Amino acid sequence: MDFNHNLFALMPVLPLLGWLVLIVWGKNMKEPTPGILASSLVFLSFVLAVVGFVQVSPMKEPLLNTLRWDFLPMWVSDAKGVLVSKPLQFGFALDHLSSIMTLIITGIGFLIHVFAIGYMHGDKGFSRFFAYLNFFIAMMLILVLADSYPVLFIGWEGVGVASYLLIGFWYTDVKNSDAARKAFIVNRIGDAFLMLGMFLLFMTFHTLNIHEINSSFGSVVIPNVTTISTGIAFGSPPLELAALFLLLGAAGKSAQLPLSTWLPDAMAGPTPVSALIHAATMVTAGVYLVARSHGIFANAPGASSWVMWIGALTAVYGALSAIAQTDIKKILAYSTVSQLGYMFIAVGSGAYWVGIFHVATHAFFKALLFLSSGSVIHAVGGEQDVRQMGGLREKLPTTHIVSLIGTLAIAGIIPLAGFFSKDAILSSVFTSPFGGDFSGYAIWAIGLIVAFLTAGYMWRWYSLVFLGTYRGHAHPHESSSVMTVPLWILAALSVVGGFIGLPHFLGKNVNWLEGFLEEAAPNALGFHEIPLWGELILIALALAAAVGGILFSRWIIARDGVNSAGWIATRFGNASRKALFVDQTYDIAVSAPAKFISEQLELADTHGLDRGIGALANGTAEAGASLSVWQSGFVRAYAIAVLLGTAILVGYLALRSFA
Amino acid sequence: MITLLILIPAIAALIAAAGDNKAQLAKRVAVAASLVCTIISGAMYLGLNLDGGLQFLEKVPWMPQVGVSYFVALDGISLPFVVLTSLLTLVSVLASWDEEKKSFFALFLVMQSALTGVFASLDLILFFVFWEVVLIPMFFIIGVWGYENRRYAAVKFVIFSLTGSVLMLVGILALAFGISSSANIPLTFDYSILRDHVSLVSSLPGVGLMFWGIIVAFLIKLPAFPVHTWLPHAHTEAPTAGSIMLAGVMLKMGGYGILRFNLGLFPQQMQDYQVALSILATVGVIYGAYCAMAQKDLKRMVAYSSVNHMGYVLLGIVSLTPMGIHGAVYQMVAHGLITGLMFMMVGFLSHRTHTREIAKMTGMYAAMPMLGAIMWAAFLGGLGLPGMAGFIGEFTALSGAVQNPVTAPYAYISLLGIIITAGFILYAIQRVLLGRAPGSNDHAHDDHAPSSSVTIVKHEASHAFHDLSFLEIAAAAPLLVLAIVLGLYPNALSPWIDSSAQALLNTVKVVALGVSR
Repeated sequence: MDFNHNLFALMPVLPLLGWLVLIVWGKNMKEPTPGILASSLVFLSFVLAVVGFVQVSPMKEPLLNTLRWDFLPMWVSDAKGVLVSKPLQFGFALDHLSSIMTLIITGIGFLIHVFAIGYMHGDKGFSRFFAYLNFFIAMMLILVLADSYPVLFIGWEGVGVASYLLIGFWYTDVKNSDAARKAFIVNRIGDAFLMLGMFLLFMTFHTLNIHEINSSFGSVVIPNVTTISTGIAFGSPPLELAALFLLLGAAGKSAQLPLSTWLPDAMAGPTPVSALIHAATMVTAGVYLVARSHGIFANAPGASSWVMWIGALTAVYGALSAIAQTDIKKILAYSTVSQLGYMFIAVGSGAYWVGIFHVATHAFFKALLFLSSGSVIHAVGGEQDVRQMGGLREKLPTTHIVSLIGTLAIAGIIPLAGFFSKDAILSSVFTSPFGGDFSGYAIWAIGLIVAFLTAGYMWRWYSLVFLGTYRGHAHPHESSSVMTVPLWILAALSVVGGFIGLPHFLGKNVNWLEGFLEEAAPNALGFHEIPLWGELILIALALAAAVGGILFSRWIIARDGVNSAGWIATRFGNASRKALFVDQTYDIAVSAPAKFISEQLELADTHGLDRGIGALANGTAEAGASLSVWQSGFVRAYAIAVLLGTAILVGYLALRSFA
Repeated sequence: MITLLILIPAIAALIAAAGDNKAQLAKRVAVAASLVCTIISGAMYLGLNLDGGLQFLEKVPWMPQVGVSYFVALDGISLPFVVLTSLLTLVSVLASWDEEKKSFFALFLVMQSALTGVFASLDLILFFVFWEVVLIPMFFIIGVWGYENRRYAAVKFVIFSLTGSVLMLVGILALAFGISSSANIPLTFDYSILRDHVSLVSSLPGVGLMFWGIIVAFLIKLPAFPVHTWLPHAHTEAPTAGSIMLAGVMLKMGGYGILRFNLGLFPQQMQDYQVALSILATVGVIYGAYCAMAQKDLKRMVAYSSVNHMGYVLLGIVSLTPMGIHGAVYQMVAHGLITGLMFMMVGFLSHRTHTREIAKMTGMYAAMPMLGAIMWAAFLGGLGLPGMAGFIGEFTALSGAVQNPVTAPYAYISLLGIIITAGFILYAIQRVLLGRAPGSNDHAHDDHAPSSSVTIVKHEASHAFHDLSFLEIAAAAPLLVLAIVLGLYPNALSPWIDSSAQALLNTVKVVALGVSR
């Protein structure tokens, strides 16, 4: 067995072992042993991720593990049209793209594990919590390391289950388990589309191996691109359709419209879960899926422009919904929805590295913000309403500083991480080859508005929690160092994280990330060039939007105070708090009809179909009874059978002999 | 060897019936017999030559005047079901260790013997005899050991089955007579000989009626829409072990029968009626899932989920592609393991709570973590979670259906079933397993009390629910382990299926498959 080739495949195995151990023996372990065990296994995975990174950095081709076996039996038609067996293998691949993802997952995952040792202190389900967290990390690693769609799907559904378990972690509360179920079912809708996409890909490419599909572009399949009157180009229909189905699958996992409603509810889970799963890693799986399938999307301009538009609409939707929320985590949740929209804009524009760039920076600052709010919730005794906070600047000095860093980073203030990735997104959509001229500029403008809104609601979040005077009734205290150290590390990453993707005009090769992902996720062809002054104007506008948002927010809060229900008109504030009524619409348009159909069908089944067939049977039985001298029901039935059978047989034979 | 597999449980049944009144001997004999059969059939499984042919042949003339013989043999499609039969009998006996009637165990052994005969027979009349014999023990198991409406359910079960049997017998006779006269050979019911003359089948008069006569019996057993209505009753009323056998093995008689006899002997008719059968399959998938969602009785819910799962089987078969047939057989084995486990857990649960009503149970995971965890795993397997056997079955069955342009639209529609399945499975998990354990007052993070106004199962103290016993875990473990192994390492089963699926498909005209490059 080739050690070098299989080392990275151990990454998901370690946390999986942790899960097994904790599930079986966790109950007998004393706190904090399960936490330490789980954290160290994730740390070991992180070490493996670093080793893998070093290994794979100089390579052009993905590193494939050699320990693989047949997973899905498949038949494809060969050149002569004869079906031949070509089983799909269960295997992992490490390339530059998955390597970045493994670093994010294990690195941030480790920090959050450590934070959770403090946060979950004293909880009855301490070891169960870490078992689930380890399970999640394992599944997420399978997702990003998979070298085929079905294996990716194992991880994809696995993280869904982990998320289900962790949202409903405090499962004795009906509200939490409702949220968990909603999350899973909405995801499942996306998954059904993902399966549909897989079937189409299989029909088109005769394989489901991701690397084989991606590398078949340029050599074998040249998409037949047609431009219709609106100026939007389309690739070949099966490809566009497959891409569209993948997009819907991705939208489910990444909480994009119209499958976005589960994510804010998912905040019912413990805060480290929100940070790890519902901000930093799992929800970015959809972005990863698009980037991973870059060959398909780069050759499906129509679907790509859909990706951009869905991203843009979601970004606005999330930002507008975040404005008037009063729950410290819900603000961040809608913010996550909105930021995921940004990532979709990026991958839809064809600049896949930009999407991954924002995945990374967002993972830093959003994990930081969530953990900070966890620290705040921890400090104020479980309170989550920002109107009951305020003035925590002095009482929680560490949490305050790191939250400020996080807020400025997500708002896009130079030179923090969010500034660079957001700028990269805006300039890539401005120059995107997809969607025609109109889409590019329109989405760029939407992105700019969202940048303004983001800075606004985040500043509101920060002010209501940390500035002013304390309005609650608890006795806030700073968290222990097991919780603050991860915060500091994430804060540092939020400050410097943007430097992996510096803009081009600063010099050749300053953009490390784009160069690094050149093989694994190359840009789509056909980006427009813009002159340097144009690029500088774009940057200035993005910065102005961020600063403007903060100033505007300050002004509104100074004017209306804490209890200003939303800053703008009351009617809009209400719409924002209810997240633009998307949830209510779903209840009316989807849930209620589904329930109705199932009840009607069940009625039909018991009263219609069953009775009908029952009557038929009874009729036969009565006819039989009148013919029969037997008394017992069972024997009677048998007798009818034999009689009927003989009668029909005799009849048939008689007919046959005449024929 | 096969005769041994049929005889051991039959003899054991006699011993069990002659044993003491407390059934102490009977259950031990039952365990021993089914264990021995599991080992023997397991060894045969490992030893099967994967060249696709029939093996372990035994052929003795029985009624030579009319061409009936005792002809048993196994191949890669039937052997997995024989193993499943022995294993599930073993598991069922273990799961009903509290039972004190010796005839209960004797009936299970009879059923095991007959089921093995069904899967092994390659003489059509012999097959029919075993097919009928299977009915009898199941009739008594439901009718005697069932719940309140057991008599109604048992009679309904028998009437449905017999109706199918009559039609099947007519079909079999007509086919055999038809072939013997048009091929000018003596009357025979030998599957191999009939299959040698399969090219003549299409020219027989009334061949469509023969095809439907035979397939209706199998569709009833499968069960397919609209002849599934006996199933919810039978399952709701059957004792736990009965449900395990019913769902785990008896339904597979239908799928197996369609493969072996309808596809094997009527390949052309399978293609002729492809659309009709696909529609039945698709309706079964979606209708079964919707009906399951509306159930208030947990056991009925699982029963309807079988209608959904078997829809994929039918769709896989009628796709007439190697992938589809592979998926169908895989799905049947997976369903036997996973749904068997689901019924077992539901049985263990309702045994403790004395109710099967979903609304009356809550917090069972907190009350019984072991039972809860296994039930959780079984239910997730039931929704086709990747990593468990059901996913491989569903995925390959549907991919196969997608490969054939005729069945492709139905495969796409069937995906809707996957969403609905998630809906009812999670609903059940949430209502039954999650929530506050009844009688417990410690819930640190629980500020919002459940607003449900339904009376929750009341009991005196928090220790009233005892978690799974060692024996119960022993009964569940093999099913769970196999469901996971087959979910991750399909090579433990796929090559067996494929070897024989290829042979079956040889007679099907090559259909245009896929979009060729």
